[in-house]
Amino acid sequence: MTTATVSLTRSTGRSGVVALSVVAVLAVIGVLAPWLAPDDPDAISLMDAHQGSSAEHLLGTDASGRDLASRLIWGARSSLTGPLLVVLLATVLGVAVAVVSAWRGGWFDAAVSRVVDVLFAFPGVLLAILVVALFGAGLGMAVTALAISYVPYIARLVRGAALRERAQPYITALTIQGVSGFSICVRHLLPNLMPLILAQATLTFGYAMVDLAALSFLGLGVQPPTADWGVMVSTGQPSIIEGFPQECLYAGALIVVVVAAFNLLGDRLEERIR
Amino acid sequence: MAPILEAEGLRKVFGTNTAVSEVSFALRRGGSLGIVGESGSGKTTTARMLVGLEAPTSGRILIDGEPVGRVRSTARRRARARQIQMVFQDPYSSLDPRQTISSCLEEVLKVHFRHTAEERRRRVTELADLVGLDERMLRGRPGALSGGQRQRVAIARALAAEPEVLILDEAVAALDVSIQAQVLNLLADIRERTDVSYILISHDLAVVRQITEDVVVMYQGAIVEAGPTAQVLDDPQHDYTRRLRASVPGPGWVPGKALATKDAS
Amino acid sequence: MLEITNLRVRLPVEGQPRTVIHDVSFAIGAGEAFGLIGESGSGKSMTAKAVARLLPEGAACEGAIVFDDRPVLELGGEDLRRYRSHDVAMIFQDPRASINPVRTVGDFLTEAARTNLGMRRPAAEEKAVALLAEVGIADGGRRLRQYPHQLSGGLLQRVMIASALMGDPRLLLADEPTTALDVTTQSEVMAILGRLRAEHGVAMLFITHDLELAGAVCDRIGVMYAGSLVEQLPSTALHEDAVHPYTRGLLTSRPSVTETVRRLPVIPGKPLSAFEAPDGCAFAPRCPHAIDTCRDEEPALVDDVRCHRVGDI
Repeated sequence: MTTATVSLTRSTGRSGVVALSVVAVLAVIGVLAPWLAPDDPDAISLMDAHQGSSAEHLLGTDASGRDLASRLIWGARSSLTGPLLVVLLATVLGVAVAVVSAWRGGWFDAAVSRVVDVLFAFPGVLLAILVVALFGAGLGMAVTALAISYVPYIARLVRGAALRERAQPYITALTIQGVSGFSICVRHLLPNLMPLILAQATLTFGYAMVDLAALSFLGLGVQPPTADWGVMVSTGQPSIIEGFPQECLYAGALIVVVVAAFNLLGDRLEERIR
Repeated sequence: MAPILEAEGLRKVFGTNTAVSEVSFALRRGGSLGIVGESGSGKTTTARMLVGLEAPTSGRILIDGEPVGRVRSTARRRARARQIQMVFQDPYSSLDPRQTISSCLEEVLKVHFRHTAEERRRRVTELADLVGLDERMLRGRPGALSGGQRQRVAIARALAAEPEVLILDEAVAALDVSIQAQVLNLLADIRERTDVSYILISHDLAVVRQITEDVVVMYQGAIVEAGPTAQVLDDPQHDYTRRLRASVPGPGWVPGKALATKDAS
Repeated sequence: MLEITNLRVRLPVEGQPRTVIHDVSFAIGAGEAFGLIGESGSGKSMTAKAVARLLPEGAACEGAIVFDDRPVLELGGEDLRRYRSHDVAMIFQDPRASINPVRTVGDFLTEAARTNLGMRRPAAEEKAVALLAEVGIADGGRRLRQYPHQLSGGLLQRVMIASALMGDPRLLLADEPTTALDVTTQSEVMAILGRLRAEHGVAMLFITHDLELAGAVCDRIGVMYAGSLVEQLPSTALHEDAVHPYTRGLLTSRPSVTETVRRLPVIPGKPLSAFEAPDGCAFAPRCPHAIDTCRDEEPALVDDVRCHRVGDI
């Protein structure tokens, strides 16, 4: 084993390494989609509808005769980048709110905490549906709406940790040294909170994947005919009744695998902090 | 010569609880003053007011004869930092675990001085020499250092801003006996080599005897006795000081002897 | 009553077995107070834990601990429970950390007596109130219904002492019982401990880093360094007759409350744990008297001192 894998194994455990590999492989597949996909994912050929596995179509075709393998490969792109964007946006916003709130304290912190409490009472997917219904469907809207709905979870967790860290004597020492609040937060508080933030972001990725797939399933996220696993579960639905469950099954299975991998990874990282 | 630091009628009230009342003392330039007391005596709150972490409810703090105001802005805090620094009790939590020792010292220098990179490195080495840290320790993180070494880092960091007064808040209390002696000697050396003055916050009368010349004894937020350390410890006048002095174990010591009058509550 | 012979303890740290107690032998007679002194990593707390059979999972012990002809390290099941409930009791450094904050003081004091000794609640409470009175808590009946957070640290440590005495133990293991307390409170607590030991005839293993405190309250003293007992002596002889360079170093490096010296005599270097110790005498790298023999050969315990140079210095 190389040093990198050794340190990785030590920080996430063997199951963590497996989970990480699964995610990495799927990400690479998404990036290399144009070269890996045997067919045009959007090429409709009604003659070839609902075919089983064959040399020509490895995983068969959907109701419109599109190659399922190619659609799944291309689908990795939006299915993975969507949750990634949600996580990035939610984490940046959540951490910023949490750190500023914990550092400033007083009325500012109290006000932020109340707003967060109110947002908590509002289910994320419901909020997203509302936003999308008001401003129009599409990946961008769905991502923004979901990101906002996750902010309270991240903010509450990070705020608690930031308050504990802030009470440490080394932070007091920096204050007495005349180091500015901004530099203490950016150079000391944040790096020490990073393991926690990373673990939370990883877990959030799993939730975001499910929620985005659900939105796409409802027709509010990624729009057909774009290849996306959530969309595929949705468009493959009528075919189940006709006796062709492949599209739903394959796309659903991939979602499950990725979500499980991220949850596992997040759990391992969380254990590591404790 | 005017005292380097004076407290005049310091008082701090938290809600309905008076933590510190009418505390006055003076620290002469280059001197060393002990503030002795047990938990709840107000000694820590007094220290926090001196460094500007708490604002006094009333009373004044004068440094070099000038009253110091509240520290509201970063600029004011920096000015105060050049005057008073503090070393904390717990060597494990008073350093950022993710920062190397040299970067920890450099950070303070960057805040207070406009050194070139070369000058800054030289100053870091100087500080390290002063407290007895070597090059290898400077490159490491706190996790690689023992408690005593960390406390040396904390002292070097506090001295980096070249303060007039160093507050030692139970700074040797958490150290092993053999390490404690090393750090106490180091503190004596530093006072000889620089013109820094000390305020030692402690519950340990032997440590107070070793490195202070004057002492104030605090009990329930107020000063009950003050004077030259040797005189106060050898011939305590106040009942509480006597009890404190009689609680220090030594040859022929009988526990609880001086406490017969105090009932349990 | 308690005899420890050549005790060795290894603990797994990150999968590697590490020696935490290298070689410890001493005995405590009935009613005697033995002070075990050392700095961090010396293994003093581990020794107490070994006696109470409270070592962490995976610990490997060699040697023998014998309590009244019973091999403590081999006790199991009912015998071990009897040993822990009737023979030994432990008092810890931080009383607040070793008491359940959501149960009343009364629950805490009587639980062991009711479950282990089969006492009925009224009888157990009566005994608890009597013991609280003995530790200087007069209104025991009221205290039983209070919660730990309503009591000060000193008061809580007295409750811990009362609880340790509930099972009428014959040996009290006190691990830094006053370190977290103020000095005046420490003095009170030590006075109470001393009186109770005399009245109940309880022996005590007193673990501390404070040489003077141990000297004042114990009959005999053992000094530990890097997992080994390096010297054992009557506490009356502590200041005059201690010979091991480490014991002497500890005595002189501690500042005095009665005089100021220009510089404290120091022991260079830092205290080591048993697994960090070099070959030969563990103290040799810090010892001003060390010669080549000290660095090569591990000294044996001769006349209660573990030092090659005992005759020369």
